[in-house]
Amino acid sequence: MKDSHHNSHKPVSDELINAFIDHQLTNEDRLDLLSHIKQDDTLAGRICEMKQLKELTQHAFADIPSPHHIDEKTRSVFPRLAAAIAIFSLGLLLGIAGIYSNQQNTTGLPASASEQAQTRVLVHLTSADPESALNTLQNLQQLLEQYSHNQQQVMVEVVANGDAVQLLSRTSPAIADRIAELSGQYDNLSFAACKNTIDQMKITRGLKIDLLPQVKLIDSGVVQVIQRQRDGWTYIRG
Amino acid sequence: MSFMFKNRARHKKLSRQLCENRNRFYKLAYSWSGDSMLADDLVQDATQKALASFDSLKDDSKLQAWTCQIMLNCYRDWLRRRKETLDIDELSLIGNSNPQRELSSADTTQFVRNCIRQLSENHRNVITLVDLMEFSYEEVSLSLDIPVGTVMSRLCRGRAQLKLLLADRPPSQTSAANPGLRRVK
Repeated sequence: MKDSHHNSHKPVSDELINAFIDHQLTNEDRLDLLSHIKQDDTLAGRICEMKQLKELTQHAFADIPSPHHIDEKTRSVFPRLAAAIAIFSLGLLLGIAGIYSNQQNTTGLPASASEQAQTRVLVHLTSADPESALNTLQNLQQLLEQYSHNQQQVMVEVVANGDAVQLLSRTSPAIADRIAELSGQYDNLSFAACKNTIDQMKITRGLKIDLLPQVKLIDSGVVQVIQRQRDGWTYIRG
Repeated sequence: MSFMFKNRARHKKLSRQLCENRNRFYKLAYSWSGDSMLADDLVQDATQKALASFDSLKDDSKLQAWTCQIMLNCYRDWLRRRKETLDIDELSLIGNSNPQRELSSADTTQFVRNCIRQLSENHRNVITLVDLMEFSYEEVSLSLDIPVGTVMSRLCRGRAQLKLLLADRPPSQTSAANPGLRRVK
């Protein structure tokens, strides 16, 4: 970037300092600016301060939370499961049995241990993209198969709100078939749709959502999601 | 036939470049939105749109700037949709108070991120493209569809604003990591 506006009689602009620290100056301008530093005591400080600002910005985003793909989340369930199974096995060794998440904890184990004995997964659908939904169902099937194969307990609930409730209706035969197939195969898999969304769609868009028979109606999808998370369910965004 | 083969090879090459730079796009989207899931969605949307419209990319060397432009449009669409629908459910999800987030906001990194998100969209876009994507001013100009001169002036004003915001950090949050950024009157 060519800049010929600065000279020994004119203070160096912030634009020029920015261009300098961003490596946007030509070699000639860069050398010219460097020669100014010798004549201007404050210039080095201004450059330093601007560079520090840039580095601070870069540093702030150097380590950010990873995106949570369903595959990664699904994988992340397995270490939890391993821990849960280990705790459960320990319980058995100690002569403690009959631990189920919906039963009162009479085992003597801390509540957290009994809760971890059964993995509970909530899959949250918010988008009406059928391709993405089919992909999610495919991942779910793999998850359920894996748990079943390992004789491990898992409970999966798919909650849809927003546009995603349409996926649980009869509008998409491909998805309806998959849901019927999976529901028939796994009794530890359930589907729920948000009534608030359905009512809202009826009022605002005139849409009548005809839910699949495997889908239960819940008052609020979001409340369900929050409640499940509070109860220790693993959250996966579908 | 030869054209089709070349075109397929070009698409493959561009797709690979997009995949290789996914983390950088994600970082940029995160700096705009401050939400890992939304950032991931934005990258996903932008990537899908880019993959579907490689034919409209005239200069392959501008792939990243072009994709950032698409992602920015995705983000603006999202912001507009959010305003239009004002879905209480969504608001409660996004705006929920998270103790973990509140705790982490006390550290320098979170403070700087918050300051960047407080900037106006124009200033934030330029700063994040230059500092996080390490774009040249020309690439920023292409991404945002503004002249290079405007890039420079927005960058200048944006950084000045950021400096002021950082200088307003409460004393309890001041750390050794940021000894030089103080307001000088």
